[in-house]
Amino acid sequence: MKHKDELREELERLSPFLAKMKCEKEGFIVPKDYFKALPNEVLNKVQQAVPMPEQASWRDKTVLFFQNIWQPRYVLAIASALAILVVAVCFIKKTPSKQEALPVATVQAADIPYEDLHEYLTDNIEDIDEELIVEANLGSKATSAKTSIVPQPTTEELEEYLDDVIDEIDPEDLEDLF
Amino acid sequence: MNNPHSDITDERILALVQAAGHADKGFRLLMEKYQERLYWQIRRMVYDHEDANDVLQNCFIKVFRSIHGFEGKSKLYTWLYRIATNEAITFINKKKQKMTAPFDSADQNLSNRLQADPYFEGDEVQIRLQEAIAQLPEKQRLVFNLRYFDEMSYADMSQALGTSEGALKASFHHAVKKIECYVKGVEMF
Repeated sequence: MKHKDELREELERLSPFLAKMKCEKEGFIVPKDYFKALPNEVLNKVQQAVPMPEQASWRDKTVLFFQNIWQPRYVLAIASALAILVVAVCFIKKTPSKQEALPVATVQAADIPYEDLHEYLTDNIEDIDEELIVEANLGSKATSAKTSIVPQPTTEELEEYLDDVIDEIDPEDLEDLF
Repeated sequence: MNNPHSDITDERILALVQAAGHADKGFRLLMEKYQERLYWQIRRMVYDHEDANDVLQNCFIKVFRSIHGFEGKSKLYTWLYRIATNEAITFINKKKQKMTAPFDSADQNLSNRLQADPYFEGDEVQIRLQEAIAQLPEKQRLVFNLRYFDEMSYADMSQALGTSEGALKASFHHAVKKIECYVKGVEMF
């Protein structure tokens, strides 16, 4: 009250004209029941747009989390992340590292009897890449003859092979060579 | 403008707002206690009811977001007032940018705007008063509105505006003289 008296006195002193005007209505009005409806309107907006205050209990936050997680944008994001994860896992499993691949191949080859390997390679020699045969043969020299997967011909076998080849060569081709 | 919530203390409101599960109730009480004062403060800056409504709602949303950071160093109302004023100034500046004509000419058209406004019932003298207030520099206008209409003390105003009480008194006195001259039709601006 004292404060209002001070203000009135100040205004009377400065401008009796404005002091008198202050007693009249200001002119601005608001729609009917505006202030009655405003808090509900603001609270609705707040609940839609504003994240839950920090002081909310962990239970409320958990409930809100599970309510929000079913929104399409969250579902889409989670599904995308899972799809990427699955693809990544499949890719990693299908491409083993060199360090893992070599021992596995060696063990598997060593476990197969030499005779079986020899028979398989003889039957399928046309399907096997020549570079692989050369690599396998070089590797076998460093280890032992028994682990070599490429057959090692004897001297007699080589001579027989050369005789056959010479018989099949056309004499004109031999002249061309020289 | 009798407010049934004016007897609820700020401490009670803040305690509710910050208590788990009671935030909505506390915030509702805060709005019910201060909505009218803030509305009129904003309305005197932006003039239109719809604009004032938008600014006030944005202001309350900001208050709700940041109420937990309120440290109680100033009165709750002065803190709210600062947010409302900043929000209104931002709104006015955005509106100025959107307008093709200079804002000064918009001020000159204030009379037409008020006469066309369904939520303004003032007479010629009231329109003249609003025109006079609109001619004041921004800070002086704020001081005049707070003192003349809101009847805020210089101490609270000093907290809200960050200006010394002496400077605020000088500003108010100067504004009163300017407005009286304008309304009476004496050239002073």
